[in-house]
Amino acid sequence: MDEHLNKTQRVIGSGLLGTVLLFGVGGIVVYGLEAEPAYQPDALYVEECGACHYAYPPGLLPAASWAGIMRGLEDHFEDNAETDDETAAYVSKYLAENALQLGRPSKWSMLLRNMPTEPPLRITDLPGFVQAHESELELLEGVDLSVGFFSPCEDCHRQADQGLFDKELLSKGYGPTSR
Amino acid sequence: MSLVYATVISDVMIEEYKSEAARPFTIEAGFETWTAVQPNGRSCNTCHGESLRIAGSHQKTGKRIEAMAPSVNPDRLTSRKKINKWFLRNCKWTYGRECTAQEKGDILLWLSQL
Repeated sequence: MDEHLNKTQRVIGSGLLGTVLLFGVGGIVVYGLEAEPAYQPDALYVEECGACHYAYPPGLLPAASWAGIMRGLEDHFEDNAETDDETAAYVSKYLAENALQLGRPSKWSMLLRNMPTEPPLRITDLPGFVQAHESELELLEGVDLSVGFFSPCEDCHRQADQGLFDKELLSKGYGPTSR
Repeated sequence: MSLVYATVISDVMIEEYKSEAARPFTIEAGFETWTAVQPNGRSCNTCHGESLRIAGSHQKTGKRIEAMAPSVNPDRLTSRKKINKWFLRNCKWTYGRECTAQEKGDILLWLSQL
């Protein structure tokens, strides 16, 4: 057979290569454009609300829950988390603007599932959270779990500070580390 | 703002508390106030630990709390805002009320020389 391609073969070959490149490169570009921005919590929020526990991303709770928490800082799950009025106002605004909300899709929108009319104060009480951790709860069936057992997200979700809770990123043999 | 000013903010605050305090501040009183176990079983050591030269951990969450002793942790006692915030939160949690100027002055004096 002649080693050189004839015109028809060249045209078809170029067309195929071009199409593949178009979809390939185009796909990468679209993926890059649509990629979610990295999670960047507010620095003051992390300082005020992350000194005693992991600074929970605002997008994990609806605004009504955050408002409830901010109203009860004097008895914040049996601790005192009060701060000055100016800081409280700032944090409240930040939480409300970035809260979990129907109509504002986020990677955590599944937490909206079966949301009660009065949302709970704890992320771990969200029906969506319970559903997402069904297999873990099954594994631990019969074990007496303390209140707040699931509260330190970062124990299993080691990149929680970056807002990453993907199953693939869970540490091997996931579970609480010794402190 | 010079570094020298920043490290003596606790001295400035001690001076300010003097006018509201009944007695001169002492290191011993600061130690007593800090370590005394309250009827609710709590003291400052509950979270900060027995030695302030090493990190403590939050009594409920286990979160690391950096050492309080300025000789070990130079960030301590350098921010008025931080000092006020933690006096507010932690006095109320430990004592069920805000600390008096006497208690704050004694505690700051004791902490500043650790």
